[in-house]
Amino acid sequence: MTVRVVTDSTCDLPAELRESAGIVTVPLRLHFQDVVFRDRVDMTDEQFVSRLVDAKAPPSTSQPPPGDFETVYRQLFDEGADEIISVHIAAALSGTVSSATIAAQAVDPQRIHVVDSRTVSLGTGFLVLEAVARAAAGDAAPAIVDRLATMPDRVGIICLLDTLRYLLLGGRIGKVRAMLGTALAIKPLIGLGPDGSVVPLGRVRSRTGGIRRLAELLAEHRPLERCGVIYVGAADDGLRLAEETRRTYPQMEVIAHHASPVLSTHTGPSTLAYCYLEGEG
Amino acid sequence: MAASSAPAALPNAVTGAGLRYGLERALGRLLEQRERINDLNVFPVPDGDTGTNMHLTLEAALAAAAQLPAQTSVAAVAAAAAHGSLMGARGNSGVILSQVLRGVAAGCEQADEMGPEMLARALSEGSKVAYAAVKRPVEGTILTVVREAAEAATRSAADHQPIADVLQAAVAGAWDAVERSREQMEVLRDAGVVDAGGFGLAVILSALSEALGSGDSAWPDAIQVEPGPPLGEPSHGPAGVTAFSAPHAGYGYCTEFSLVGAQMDPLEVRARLGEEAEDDSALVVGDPGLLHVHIHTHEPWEVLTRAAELGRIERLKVEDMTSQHDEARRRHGRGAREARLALGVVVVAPGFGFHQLLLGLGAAAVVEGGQSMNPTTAELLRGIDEAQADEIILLPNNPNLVLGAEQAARVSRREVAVVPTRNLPQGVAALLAFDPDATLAVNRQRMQREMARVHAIEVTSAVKDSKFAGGPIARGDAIALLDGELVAAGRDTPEVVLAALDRLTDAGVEVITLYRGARVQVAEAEKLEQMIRDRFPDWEVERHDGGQDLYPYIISAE
Repeated sequence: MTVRVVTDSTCDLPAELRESAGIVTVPLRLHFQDVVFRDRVDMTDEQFVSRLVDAKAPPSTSQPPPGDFETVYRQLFDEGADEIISVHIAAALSGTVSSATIAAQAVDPQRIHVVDSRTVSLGTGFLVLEAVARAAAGDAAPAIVDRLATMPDRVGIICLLDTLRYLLLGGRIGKVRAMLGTALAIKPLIGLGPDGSVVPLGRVRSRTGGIRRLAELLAEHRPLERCGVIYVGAADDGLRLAEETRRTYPQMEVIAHHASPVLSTHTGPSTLAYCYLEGEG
Repeated sequence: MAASSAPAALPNAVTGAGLRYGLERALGRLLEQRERINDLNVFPVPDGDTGTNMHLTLEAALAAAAQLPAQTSVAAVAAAAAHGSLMGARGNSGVILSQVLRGVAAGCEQADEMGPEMLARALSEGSKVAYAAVKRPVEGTILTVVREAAEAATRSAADHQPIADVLQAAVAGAWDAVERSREQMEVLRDAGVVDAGGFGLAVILSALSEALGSGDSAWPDAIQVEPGPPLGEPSHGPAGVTAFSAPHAGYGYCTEFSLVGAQMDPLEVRARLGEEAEDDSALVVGDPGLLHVHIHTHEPWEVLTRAAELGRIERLKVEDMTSQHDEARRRHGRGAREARLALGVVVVAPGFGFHQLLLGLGAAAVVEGGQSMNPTTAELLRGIDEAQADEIILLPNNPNLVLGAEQAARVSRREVAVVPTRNLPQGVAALLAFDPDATLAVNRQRMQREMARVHAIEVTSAVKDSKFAGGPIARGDAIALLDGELVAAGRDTPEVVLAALDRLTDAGVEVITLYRGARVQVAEAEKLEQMIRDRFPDWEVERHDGGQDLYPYIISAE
């Protein structure tokens, strides 16, 4: 019984990790005016961020066309897969799940299981890693899918933004509106919900204060099962934060990765974030 | 099936070449209407790219169809278009369009030509496949439009109408559905627009009808999709006032300020700033030295950046109209009782600038008070009552007022906790840490922790001759207290400020906030701000009007 795992380019798992685990990644599309790029194929994260900063109009992202998924699914069956688990960015945030579902219907709805991760970034990545681990342990696809369904409620994302500007541009300001009422320059801390909703978690004046607050917020979610650092642009800060986090949680494998454009567009450059999976019970 | 033997009459079937020609026309029409469709886009997320997405998806469909030989079956063209759009689908609307095309292709499978009944069947199939692709179909969208077009076509075909009429019936059904989408979804009704994706699909059907010879009355110039004047057309108001109005959805930010400068032309300023107000309106009034600007924009920062190039911005007010709208609705809907807070912060502060700043940061009430003008217990109690909250956190912002605040807390009928802030920077830091959704106890702890992390420099003048570790102090000298301790004194206020800041070079400071006192000229404060920037290039420096008396400057460092 071979179960293969497919995900999309928003999962923020490092490429080496995906390759060694045999995970197939389908790229979302990035649109700058009329030019289309495949996420993390035609354009790197760093290129995206520099364009994000320069762009007059905000770039947009969109789901992979169903045809991409059809191609991948057929290829995996040709390679001998018995079942496919396809884990993707929250359906509330992207049409990726619907593209994948359309393709699954066309290829083999019985053997392809499309999973709405109900989260983004490493949150999706954590589900992908779980699927791979379970598949390697010999679990059948339906059991794995049931297992994944229990995870999204334990996932959280907390971000330190450099500015509210990009959140405003994306129209996803929600409850964070209250932070706008001040003349002081403020760095907001926010939580990202699975439906793209944004919850205010705090506001600080300095980046150092913000990083300290991030760590405090993370500690509130102990015990942690998994944790990772994602960053937009500021790789030095991101890697340093990951290093500090490893010291605080020595038993934990702390993934550090650049945020995908889907997240970068909404949070803006210099964002630092924790993505965590709370332990069960 | 086809009436090809009667060249004078319209053919009663669509060939492969005919369909391809129709799709080409549709692509052209979609390009014409693209920006209009983008502007309509408010559902599900107002990202304004529906027109672009549909256009590029159809382009991919046509690119695939164009690979086929000139004489080819309608089934082959439809299948190629479906496959091309599937591979090139962009965005939600593009994916749905690709599913419509997939259904259409299934509906005319293996057919050489498409007659009236087959057209109706193909559209019905397109509708069915599109619905199936969406998890939770929402009416009033492209789905409704394709379904109603299919239904109209089916009725017409059942009446044995020729294909041109069937197509025209589909077009009419589509535009009816588009027009009604305005009423079907709240977001569209609020924005006064019709559904973008539905509009795009109706454009495609109209173009097909037009291309296939029956479209004289199909093209919907008449359909009114937006209220108000054409986009971006300026209208002229009373003398000296130029208004720029454009119809658009969304509320954005109400941005108002005065612009102080020289030889400013209101028309030119409006033109410069109005670019950012493309969605709403811009109002610029006044004389060449002082203009008042009122703009509704989605990008207040852009407006302010441009404005700052034209003059000095004063009396800035930026309000989130969406939140105002929601708030108004909330109050209206649920009554005033709900406006009461569970937990609120009352702050003691001097000066208009500080009051505004603190209220903007979320203080429920501000009590006037500062050095040598401490509020009485009664005044504190009045502030506590004004706050309209069940539980109160009180920030005294002065070491001499901590006891008085605790006294007021005991006397008050409410639950009042004092977070003993000793100066305004501490008060601002504490207020920043406030979370209205957390408990009083959690907030108290968090605010105490955060207030301890900020350094405060208070600059005032000596009331008598004295001395300190740094030497003698003459009456009237500027003196600076760092976290309550006298660290610098001298004749020259800026020098005293810089000397006090020198003490913080190893304190891990990132942001300096300079609050200007009521008696300091703006130009002086600007000069000091520049001196701080020059001396400490790594620090971010912000300057605000505190409006406090007696203290020329209050400075926070964090």
